[in-house]
Amino acid sequence: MTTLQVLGDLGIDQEMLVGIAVVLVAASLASRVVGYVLIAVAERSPRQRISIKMLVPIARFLIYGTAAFLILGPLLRLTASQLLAVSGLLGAALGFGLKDLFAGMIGGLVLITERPYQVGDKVTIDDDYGEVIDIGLRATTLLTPDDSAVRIPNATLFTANVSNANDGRPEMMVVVELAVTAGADVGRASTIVEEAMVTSKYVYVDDDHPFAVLVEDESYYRTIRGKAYVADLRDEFAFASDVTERSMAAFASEGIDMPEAPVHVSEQH
Amino acid sequence: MMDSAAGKRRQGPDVDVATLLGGDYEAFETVLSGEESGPVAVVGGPFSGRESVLDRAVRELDATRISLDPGDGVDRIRAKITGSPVVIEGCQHLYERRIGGFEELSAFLDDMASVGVRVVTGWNRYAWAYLAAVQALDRAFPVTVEIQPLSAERLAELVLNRYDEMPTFVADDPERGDLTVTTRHELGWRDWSVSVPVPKLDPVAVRALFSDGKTDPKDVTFGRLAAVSNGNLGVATAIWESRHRSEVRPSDVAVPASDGDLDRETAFCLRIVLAKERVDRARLTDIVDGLDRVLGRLSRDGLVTVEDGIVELVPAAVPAAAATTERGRIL
Repeated sequence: MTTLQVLGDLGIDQEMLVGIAVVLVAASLASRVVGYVLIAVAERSPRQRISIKMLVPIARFLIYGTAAFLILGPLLRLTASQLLAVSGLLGAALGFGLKDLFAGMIGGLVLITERPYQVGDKVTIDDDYGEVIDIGLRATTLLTPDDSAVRIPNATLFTANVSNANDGRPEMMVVVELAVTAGADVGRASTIVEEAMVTSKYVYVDDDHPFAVLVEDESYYRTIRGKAYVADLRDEFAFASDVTERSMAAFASEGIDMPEAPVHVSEQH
Repeated sequence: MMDSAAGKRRQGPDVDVATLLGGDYEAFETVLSGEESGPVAVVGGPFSGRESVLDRAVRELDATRISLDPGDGVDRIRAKITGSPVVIEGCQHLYERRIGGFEELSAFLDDMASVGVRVVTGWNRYAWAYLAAVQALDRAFPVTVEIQPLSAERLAELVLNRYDEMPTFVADDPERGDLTVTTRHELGWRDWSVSVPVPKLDPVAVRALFSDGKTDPKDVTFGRLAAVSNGNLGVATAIWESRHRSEVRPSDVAVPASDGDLDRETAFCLRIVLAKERVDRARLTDIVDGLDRVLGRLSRDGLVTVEDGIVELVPAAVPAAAATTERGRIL
């Protein structure tokens, strides 16, 4: 029995196959066009950027859902024996090969409804940190600071801790840490870090987005931790670099010594 | 017409303080009458008429006037404080956007807290907003009055009062397609990009269309001028002077716009100039990377002028400068 005969027995003729192909191609094209247009509009609206980008996966779900309905609609008009056969095949496929895919798709649906993160957010999922650039049917894609795209199955959401640095907003807190020796003028050093932050071209300050400088006494040095928001989370590293570079130059010119300690940037919401 | 108006233009528009301050006028009056003590801040956009309000304070208080220029510090103010009231103009020059750039401002605020004379200060509103956010400047001033946007009718009166001859106002021809204004947007895909014209409906022109032609073209023209200048008298006057001829159409009123978005460095430099109105070029060198190219771009776009080492904001370009920097969310 050939494949065509099997399909014929299921009520799928050549015309229907062409129709299915057309629907799939149209869905793929529509998905790309809608995604491109929404992203272009989002980039023109800095304040609404993430909200608009959030519509991209929803639109794709709707497009592919409609395509699935158009394809499966005629197919579902099956006889009892055909339905039993298809169900058995589907059950076996899910059980053996498509379990993860199915879990990923359910995870995708949960992402849409619960929204633990959105396209454009900066998140940490397990050990991976980056900007969410795509939420697909099966997986979420993160763009790491090193420009690597990491695809994380949506099903991971059920078991992994998800840390979201901005929770859908374009602003994001950036924490910059610098260390000075125990004998340094820590008051002046704190003022320098504060002024480096508030004079940065990337900073964003208002009543809801305050800035702060904290000092921590370590054993052999003191850590000055500056916290401020950037207007656009994509400026996270540029801001940290700008503040660190200008603070260090001011430390040097004012004779504030820094120990041989690592300076690192962390981010938190 | 232009020659006969030259004398008036040099003096600037004669506008009353009550109109400029709107709802804040009463608070300003209480300060002048001595009912309210403590330093006063007069806050307004570039070229919006802060000088007129400060002139009134000088007259009413018989005060010493101090005009700060780029590079001036607190010493210039201290030298003029002799026990009589003081009116200080251009206080946005007391800070610089760099590490150590708030020292003069901090010393000034300390002086104000201890000096026993009445002090009225004038601030650019963009500098004020920045300093209120990062230095809590607003807490140092118990009374703050703001220059309010003027209505189209008042703008028409003040602008036209500067000329002896009135231009002829002509309605736009509907067939000219002036219902829309066109802006250009960059669309890109991978390495490829194209500048696409995007038409937008002009609300003033649309309203005029549905008014059965009964709308006075003069009203439409000044409605549009008030909209593009945000009711800022100095900006409206500059736009008017650059655009008007013996025959004026509403569509003649337009704002010079930057061609495409500015990069962050250029927008940051523009924001500094917008907040300070006049900046010493040498002071920008340490703040803005690639200053020559940045100023070249801003000059070409008609947003600033650079002359004798001073970078100055172009009055007619204030709306474009504000919109561009606010789109980039630069503080």
